Amino acid sequence: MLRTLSTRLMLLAFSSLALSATSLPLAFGSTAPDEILRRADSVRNPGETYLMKVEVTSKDSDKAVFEVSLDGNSKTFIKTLEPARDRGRNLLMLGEDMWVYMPNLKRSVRVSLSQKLTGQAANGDISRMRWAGDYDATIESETEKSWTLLLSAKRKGLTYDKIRAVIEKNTFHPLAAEFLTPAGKPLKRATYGDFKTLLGRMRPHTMKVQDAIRPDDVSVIRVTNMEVKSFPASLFNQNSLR
Amino acid sequence: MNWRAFFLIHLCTLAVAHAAEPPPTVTWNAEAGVQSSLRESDSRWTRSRPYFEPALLAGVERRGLGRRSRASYEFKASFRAWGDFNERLDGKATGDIEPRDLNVSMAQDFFKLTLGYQEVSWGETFGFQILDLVNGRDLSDPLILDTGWIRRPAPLVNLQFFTDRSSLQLLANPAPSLHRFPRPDSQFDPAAGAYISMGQDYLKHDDQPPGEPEYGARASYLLPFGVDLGLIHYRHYNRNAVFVVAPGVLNPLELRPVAERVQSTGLSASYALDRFVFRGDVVHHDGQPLVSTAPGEVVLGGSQLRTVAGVDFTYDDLALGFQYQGDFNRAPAPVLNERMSWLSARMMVSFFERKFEPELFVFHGLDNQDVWIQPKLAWNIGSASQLSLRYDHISADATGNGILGVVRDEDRYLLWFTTRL
Repeated sequence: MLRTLSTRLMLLAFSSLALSATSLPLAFGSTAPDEILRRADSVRNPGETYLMKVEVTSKDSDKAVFEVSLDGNSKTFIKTLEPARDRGRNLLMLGEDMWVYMPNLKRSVRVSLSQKLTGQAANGDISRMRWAGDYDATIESETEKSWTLLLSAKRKGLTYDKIRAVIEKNTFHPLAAEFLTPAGKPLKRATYGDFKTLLGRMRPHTMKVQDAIRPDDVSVIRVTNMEVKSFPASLFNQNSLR
Repeated sequence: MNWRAFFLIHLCTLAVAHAAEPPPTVTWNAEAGVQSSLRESDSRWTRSRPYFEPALLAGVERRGLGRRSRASYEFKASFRAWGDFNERLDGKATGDIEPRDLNVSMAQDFFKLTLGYQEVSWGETFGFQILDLVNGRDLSDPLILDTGWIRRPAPLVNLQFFTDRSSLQLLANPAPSLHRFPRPDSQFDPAAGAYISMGQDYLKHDDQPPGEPEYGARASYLLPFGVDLGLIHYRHYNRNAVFVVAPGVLNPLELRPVAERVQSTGLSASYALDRFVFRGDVVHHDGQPLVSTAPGEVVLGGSQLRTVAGVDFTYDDLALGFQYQGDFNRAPAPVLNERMSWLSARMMVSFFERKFEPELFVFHGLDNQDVWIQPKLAWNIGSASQLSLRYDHISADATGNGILGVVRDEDRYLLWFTTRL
């Protein structure tokens, strides 16, 4: 039995090596789409667990300020700091499940992941900062300076079913994204900008989200602070949401 | 090494260690507002209540239990100070300062301990939250049923353990705060008359001393396919409002609320599928006092099963919700309502980037005459204030069929201004 177990472990180790080998940049100048996605994710995410403060400004809407605690791609706690009216209306996302704390009920309530956070910003625009793991990527087109990837959701329940992302070749900076319906119709368009050094590398500080049908409906998500930090498990449990 | 050198070295070590620690954080905020309500039947102002609710939160991160472990310590205090110029029939102002939160907590990776005055809310459904058993309610104005406003904070020992997908909560309440009912002869006294009024003292049929502790537990598990399950067991005083007619103090007779020890076991579940969220609560109360068919009497040792199931749908700025509620009562003697059921619906929508938020709530008995209709319009002024106007129409069977009978027929307007500082 032990022999069987050790053989399985060896096979597992071998398959892991094989998998990691395929995720390395391919030879002769071409790069695997999953690797492009992973490296683009590392531009936006400084670590596995971190804290960031974001401001969301939208046309005809009050400025919203959130403190976002992220642990991997499946655990996110969003604390609402502004507007004062919504203070305490905090959100927890665990995988594809989401809860919101209602201060008037003093209770956390299960909500749908597709619910709007503020303006054009969906909950997933802030709570899910990584594409790798959630989406399968294929290279749709390529220019001298950038790749255009088509990302298809690996499972149901994600904020967007398909995303078309433009990634800069030399830097792996995400430049733009189109969020699409399952049929490929654009819902929103996003552009990433204001690249500045933060926690040791150049990262985008703003994401401008525009409605595809009503281009005047624009929200700007601005990262004002980022800090690599670890969190207690109790922060990411719906029963301790406050 | 002499003791002075030893003390000095220790002091320096502590100072260096303390300087390296992140500093404590202190935040405060406050809510101020005023509630004014007008009863339609007699065109009478029934509430003119300004209030102020400051809150302080102090937190610090320090060494926890065990080597190299870190823990967050928090102190939370909030109070509600209010005055009311219309609450009593004699027109005299009343007021109070009530603690809403007064607790300390310690959170370390897998557990959290909170001690002191706090609110704990169980259950997944809305309306009559049947699993929300831990805190009593202030029902002195029975038309204000906003749970965040009427829940009475309790001095609790609240210990929670967490794993990746599950949690266990152990609760003990050494000094239970039961429901508070309308004051005798106040304008909300359902019994107010020449010979009878509302009583304030609870009638306890068991031989236990008043204030026997309440305690229980809740276990929850988030299943891999997204169903969030919760199982509760709680030993407590009954949370249903039942009264007996007894010799009174202010009047020859009074309605006295009944407090009995009850064991409650319940299950809650929720599941989100795309734009839909399905919710359900079920609870069985063993030992529940129930309203007897004999006028003014209560049947003890009853058994009550309560269920609520509902579905919510959200699309952009629209939210719709529907709920079914069913109560099934069994007792050693005949009781008034052996079976009752209701349907309720809620619709919310927002316009102009949430500037205006109209809302409609309808609650209707299926086998009883309960009707509650509540349209509401909220106007969000700036980023911190809200003005809302709502209308409550309640009608019920005066003989006690249904659960709104105790409120009597009421129509009321409520204007509520609130601002956050």
